[in-house]
Amino acid sequence: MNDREMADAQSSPPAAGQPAIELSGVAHYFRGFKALVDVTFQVPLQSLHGFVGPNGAGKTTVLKLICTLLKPQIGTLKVFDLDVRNELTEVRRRLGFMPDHFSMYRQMTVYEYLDFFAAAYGLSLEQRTRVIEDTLELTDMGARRGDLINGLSRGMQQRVGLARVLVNDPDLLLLDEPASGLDPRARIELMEILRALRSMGKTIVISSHILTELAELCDSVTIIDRGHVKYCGSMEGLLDHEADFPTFRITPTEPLNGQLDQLGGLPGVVGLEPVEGSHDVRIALDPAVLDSNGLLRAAMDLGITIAKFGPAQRHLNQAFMDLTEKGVR
Amino acid sequence: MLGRQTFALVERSLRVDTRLKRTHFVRLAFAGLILLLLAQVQIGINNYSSPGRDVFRNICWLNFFLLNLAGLSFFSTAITEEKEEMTLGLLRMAGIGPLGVLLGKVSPRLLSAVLLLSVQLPFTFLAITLGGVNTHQIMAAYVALLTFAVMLAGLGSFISTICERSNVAVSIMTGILAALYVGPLLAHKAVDALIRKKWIVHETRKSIETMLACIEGTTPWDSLFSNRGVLSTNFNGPLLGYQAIAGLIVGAAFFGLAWAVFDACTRNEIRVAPARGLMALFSKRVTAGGNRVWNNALAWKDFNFLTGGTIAASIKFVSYIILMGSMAVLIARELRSDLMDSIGGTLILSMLTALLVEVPIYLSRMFREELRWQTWADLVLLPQSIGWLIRNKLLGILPTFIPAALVFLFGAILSPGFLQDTLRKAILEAQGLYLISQYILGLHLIVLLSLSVKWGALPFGLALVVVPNVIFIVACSMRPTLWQYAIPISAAVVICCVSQKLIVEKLRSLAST
Repeated sequence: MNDREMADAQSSPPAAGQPAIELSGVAHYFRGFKALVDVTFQVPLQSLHGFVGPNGAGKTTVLKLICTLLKPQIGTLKVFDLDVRNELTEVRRRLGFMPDHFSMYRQMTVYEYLDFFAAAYGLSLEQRTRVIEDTLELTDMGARRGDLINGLSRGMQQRVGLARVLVNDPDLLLLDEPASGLDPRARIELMEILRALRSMGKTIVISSHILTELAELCDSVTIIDRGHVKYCGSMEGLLDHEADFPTFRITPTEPLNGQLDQLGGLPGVVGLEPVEGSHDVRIALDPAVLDSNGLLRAAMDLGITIAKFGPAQRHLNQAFMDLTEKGVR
Repeated sequence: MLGRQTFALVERSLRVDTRLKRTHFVRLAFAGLILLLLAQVQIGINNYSSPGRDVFRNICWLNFFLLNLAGLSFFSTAITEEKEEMTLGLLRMAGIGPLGVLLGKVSPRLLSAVLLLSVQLPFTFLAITLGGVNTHQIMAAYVALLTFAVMLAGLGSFISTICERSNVAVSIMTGILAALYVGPLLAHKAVDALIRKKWIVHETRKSIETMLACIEGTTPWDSLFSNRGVLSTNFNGPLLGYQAIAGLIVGAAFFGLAWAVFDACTRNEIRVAPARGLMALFSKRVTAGGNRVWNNALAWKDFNFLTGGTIAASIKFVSYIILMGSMAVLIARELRSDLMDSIGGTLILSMLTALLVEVPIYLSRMFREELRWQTWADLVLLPQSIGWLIRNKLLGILPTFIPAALVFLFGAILSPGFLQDTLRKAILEAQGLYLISQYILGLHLIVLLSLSVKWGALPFGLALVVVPNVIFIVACSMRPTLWQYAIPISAAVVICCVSQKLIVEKLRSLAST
């Protein structure tokens, strides 16, 4: 039995119901600068979790804390119920981290690179051969196995990077901005691979700026801004999340022309936004001045024939804007 | 032609340099060091025949050593650094021409060297009061050193322009300097042998030796330290001698060459990637077939990609055999008795020197390469400790020393007595232990520095060991006693322990940056 097999025998499979990642009151400082303040959230097991925040929000710091590259200064951080402070080796064995930069041994071939990491994780020759073939197939890089990594496109390098984090068959994947710099095709293909991995029972945490893609892909999301967690929960919940002002969506039977300005000028209307690709408008109200009934009545008074009226679900971008503060940190 | 933009980089570099506290601290420390050396000689003045000249000679050696280190690391990487950072294109797009870039990158470095020498000058005049040296000699020595710095800067700018990578530039510069110092000596020997064989006539010998003297004369090695050099008794040569003029001309010529070829050598921005080296030429790529990564993956990687693998080791072995074989033949011709002992001794000493040079080179690159290509975090994330990573990386570079070790072993078989004698001196005598301790200290400092500085860990580490030891030797009137040796040995042990802790801490923190 080699090191790896012994470790496999010792490590317990993730228990159902237990969160894959659990952060509680985590704070982190860089030379006095508060990078994270009282960060508390959970990532459900076998879920695809989006991790969103503006530049400098603390996303990479959180990911580095989870993957054990940084030691939590305050609070507790558990991965599969293992404390990252005390059970560092076991945590590392069960996760794969893909950083946001292309840190690769670019002088190696694809096969050498994967074989190197598989051997470094203590896999036997047979295990290595099998696992490399599997990851090459999953990432569709089999045909490029003999190519030097330096000669591959960015998208292909990203696939090799993903294949690398999979060689030790981790239960948890942490992907920091995996789609940045990729063309639309490479991005879509990467998302397909991530869906496939989720269906294989992996827990995936993906940090990204591309919110629309996360909306399609993720089961749950955490929004972080200036070191504080602003939201953590399901993607649906985020879109329904209470904004500062209740927002309603009006679907008229005909396009609104002059009535749009009149609607915007109504007392109590604090925001008005036409919905792209339709005649619909999204209207935010100050409930102290105008309620939904009043709005409906006023719209009809303006001669607008209404086909549909109801509370508006926010766009993910809007939710993000509402939850995060202005300005670059 | 010489517009404002030409000097924009120079101006910026000088501003930055002036504002850095470190710059002034280093100069102050150097001036302090000179004063310390003078004070120590003053205290033990009775131990010297001509104290002023002796201390000034040591100062000159130190400067000469540091200038060579600067030539290797400081000057030869001036442009390659920009190429590797891929910032040369940005400078050119900002309207800075080849001359502007060259001046901007080379002249501040040259100025730093010049200022480091100039700051000592007023203090070295104090050596005159100790006796044995005069103002003319001091001035001539500094002119020799300054012009040598100009030569190195010019040469470095050219090498840096034509090379794509810093490590290649440093290797070429090392080769040139080695050829400059050792080449003429070997050539003299070869000419003598050819004369004996009557393969060349005396007239040819004369012209060859004139040519060799011209080459030899370009370095302070000859102009300062030889029997007829500036530091010899009753020197009355010109202030601006052959070496100074040659240094200025060679420096300017190479700078001009660098300017001329700058566009051609830097036109295409090349994406710098880690080198596959000799693996690319001879080795089969690792595939699912027979050729696989070793079970000790880290050792496999460093052996193949850091040291060049089996191919480089084989080339090294063959080169050592050829070189040592030639030396053995030469020795056999010169000597009639103790032939085996002499050959064995030569093999042991040569290979020991080769090992002493090879080890710090690879150690300085062991972690630097990981940091440079941002791959260190990938290794730290393996379920292993930092100590395990260090040990396995060391295992990876060990096989590269096998060729030298084998030739050393052969030397030991030929001359067991010589080996025994060397080992006895090294282990049982205080001087041997002192040298070993300082060497190991140097290795630790080189590794530690390689984690902090982008380039030049090797020369900086060497300087950090050599400079205090020069002070120590001078303080002990050149002949330390047994108990005096205990001070640097115990200091080395303590610093090595602290360095090991710092190396581990630094490696841990670097993984998260």
